[in-house]
Amino acid sequence: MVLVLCVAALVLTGVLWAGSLLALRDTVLRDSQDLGGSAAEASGGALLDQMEQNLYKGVQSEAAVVDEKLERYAAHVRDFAFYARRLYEEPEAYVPKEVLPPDAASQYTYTMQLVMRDEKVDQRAVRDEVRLLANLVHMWQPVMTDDPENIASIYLCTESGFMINYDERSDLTPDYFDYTNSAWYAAAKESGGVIFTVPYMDTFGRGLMLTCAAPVYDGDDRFAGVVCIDMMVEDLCRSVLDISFGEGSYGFLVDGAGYIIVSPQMEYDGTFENVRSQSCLAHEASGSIMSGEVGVTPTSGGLYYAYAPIEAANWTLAVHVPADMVTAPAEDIRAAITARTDATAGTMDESVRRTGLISLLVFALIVGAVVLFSGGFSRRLTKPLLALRADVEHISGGDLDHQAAVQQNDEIGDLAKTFNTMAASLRRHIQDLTTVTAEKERIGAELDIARHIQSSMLPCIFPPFPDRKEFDIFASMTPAKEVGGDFYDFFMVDDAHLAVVMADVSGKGVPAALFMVIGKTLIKDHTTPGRDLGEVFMEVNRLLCEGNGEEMFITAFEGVLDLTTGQFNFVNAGHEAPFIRRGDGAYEPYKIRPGFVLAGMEGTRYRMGTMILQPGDRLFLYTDGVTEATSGANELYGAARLEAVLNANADAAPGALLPAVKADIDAFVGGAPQFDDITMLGLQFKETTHREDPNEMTVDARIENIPAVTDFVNEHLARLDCPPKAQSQIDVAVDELFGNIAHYAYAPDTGQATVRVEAAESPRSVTVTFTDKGRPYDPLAAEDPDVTLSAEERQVGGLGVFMVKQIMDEVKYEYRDGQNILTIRKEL
Amino acid sequence: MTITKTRDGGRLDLALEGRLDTATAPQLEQTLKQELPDVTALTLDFAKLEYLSSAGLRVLLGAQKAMNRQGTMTLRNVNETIMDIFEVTGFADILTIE
Repeated sequence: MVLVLCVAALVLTGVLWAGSLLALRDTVLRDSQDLGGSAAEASGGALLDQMEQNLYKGVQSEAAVVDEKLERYAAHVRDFAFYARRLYEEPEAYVPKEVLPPDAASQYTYTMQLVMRDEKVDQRAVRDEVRLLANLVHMWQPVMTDDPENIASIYLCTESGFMINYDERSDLTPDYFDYTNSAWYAAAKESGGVIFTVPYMDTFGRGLMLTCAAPVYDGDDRFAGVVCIDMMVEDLCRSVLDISFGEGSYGFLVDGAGYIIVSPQMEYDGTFENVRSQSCLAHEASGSIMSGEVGVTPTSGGLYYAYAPIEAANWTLAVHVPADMVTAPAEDIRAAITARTDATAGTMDESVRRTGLISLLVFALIVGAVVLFSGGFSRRLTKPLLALRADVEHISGGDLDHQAAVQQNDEIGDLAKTFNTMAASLRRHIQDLTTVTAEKERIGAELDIARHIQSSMLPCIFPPFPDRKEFDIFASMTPAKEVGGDFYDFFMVDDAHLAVVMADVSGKGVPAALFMVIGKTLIKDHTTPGRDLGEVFMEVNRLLCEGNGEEMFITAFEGVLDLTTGQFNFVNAGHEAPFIRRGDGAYEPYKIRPGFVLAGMEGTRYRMGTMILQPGDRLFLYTDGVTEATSGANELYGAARLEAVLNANADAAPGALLPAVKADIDAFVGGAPQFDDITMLGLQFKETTHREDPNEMTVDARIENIPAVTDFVNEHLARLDCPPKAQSQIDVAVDELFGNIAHYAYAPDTGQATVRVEAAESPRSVTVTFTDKGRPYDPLAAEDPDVTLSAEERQVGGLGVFMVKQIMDEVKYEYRDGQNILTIRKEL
Repeated sequence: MTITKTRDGGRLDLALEGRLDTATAPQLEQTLKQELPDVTALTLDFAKLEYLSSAGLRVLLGAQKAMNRQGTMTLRNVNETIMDIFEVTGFADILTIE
């Protein structure tokens, strides 16, 4: 009976044990799946937002590129129209110019060709107007020379019945052409401003063309004609069609009326599909596309449309993206997490099976022992056995901490000890399962994901800005096994400012990695051109505090380097001070009083610091993973060792310095495990973008600035011992040329002009260069005025430039990179 | 630029000092516009004038055209630099230079 009871109790314990084991497995598994699910949701959602933002930014910058290209042509025709009006207003200030009918012999030479609207126009009646307007060639010629690949022809058509065409295909130009029937002529007249036609196939087979046209008005505001640029737009269209955000995506252009004017499906047969029509794929998103805003809109048909306006032509650039291109990365992450969770469940099942098997073996042994020793001693054993049974029942009730009483030093006592051993071994197994299986696997899975997200978010292509010669930058992060949350970042705030960030997030795993994503994004988003860095951190701190339920915080250092002046503004939120190396000196820690950590306390104030970096200076940023790297002998790496290795490699470029520091840390640490991320950033400031040039002066092109420019030039001339007469002549030239720029280059607006003075030997001479970014105009192309006329017949137009040509030894004009460059040289 | 004015009946003497260029030419133009209507003999003294530019030439041309109708215009003490400018622009043939 006792035996049966014993065995029954043992079996009951076994069953209860197995039951609690299975329940434990379920609980751990469910927790792990919940955690995996929520991590998948969070990181998938973050990635989806990121992808949509990529689309938004991508289409915005592509549209800006197209806009900039079109705006350049629009600006040219606007200038032409403005200049034509000046010609009408002040005909006496310009020298008449002859234009001949097209001559096939002039093929492949840029010439003006006179074309009449029809045979009814009286050529003699319009002769003076033709010869006056022919002066436009002074503007056309530099524009054409600057961009011959894209501009096919430039022409002016007038209400009075003639057209002046400027191109190199006089063989293709007809003698008569009734342009009044052309759509662009009517459109430009009606709109009163610059218009763009839709792209069309050129009738002469030169490819896909576009006409940009603007109306011309005479001095009395009467419509006088239309001036146009015909340009080849194969490149422009291809750059639109080639826009890709993955397989199946493509770009297309929509005009102001909603017609799709460039798309991969286009035939260029004169028919266009309207984006609003029901049959159009983008129909559902057409309202957003035509809204004139930048945006991203998903459709129910599983497509995404990203769009941005092109203001120059009142067009819209749109991108068609299959939804799975946007959602695929998020799905990947989700799948990766689910796979990891499943793997955890598998590992757990395996552990449960193994533990069960061992326990079964232990049970079998115990039952065997009980049967073996029970026979002869059953009676003597009854009492201790009953006690033991009560103990076993207690243990089987789930209280594994209960100890069976060991009353005798015999087999019963041994049995009680065995029970205690079993209870202890069960406890250990449960602990193993909880800590080893669940904890380790879960943290491992979390950290894998965290590391994946984290490393994919840090800029890791070097050199990151291959065309910037002003600085050299390199950064690296070596993640530890157990801790995530370090990050570095660098980006151009604008063309002249480089920002660097080094930060360390407290905490571990997915939450730390996600917090880091938020911190990094907030810092980057709020670092806008010209903004005080103290303000940036105060705002970032406020936003981080708002959503911080986990009591996490970030130590961070941010600096912004002005590449034109070397001014380095910085702000420090509880982070390690950087090392600075001045010129050929040594790397030294730069003592900064740090502010409190980010996300630590609401309303924390941060103050921006400033220093000036000279070309050649270097900066080294790091996190405490460097100085707190620990050797096998529990010794810290420390700031002194770091300083020593920096100075041992003082002349190494950042790309070589960081691996050298890492190698030194690795040698020091030896085989000991790495506890914290090791993150470093090296920056070398090599040269300023623009050195102050004492030979150059840039001022607003205004008449009032002539005396200042003259004084500037005279100062240089005085240093060169310039003879008074040459100085007076140069002063006259400055007055004429700077005066011209002030009057005409930017009219009716104003812009800047640069005057540069340079001296040369053999022959001893001085060169003055005038540069402006106004409308292209070659003053030297004008014909010289007749200086033999009497006072009554005299005109003053062109006299200034003519004079300059006479009193200088050399005068040159060039239109390059969107700038008028006029150079005069005078021998001393 | 400084303009020193001496008026004696139909005679007007103007002594110019400094530079006659884009910035200062309107000043001379204004003076001539006020004084010229009943002048028969205009004399411009260039002794202290450093140089002139096309803006100055324009004003001189206007004055010369006016004086062709109502009297005489004479330039005095023209320095070498300015004389060169008059030569290359053909103004030496239009103006009366002493």
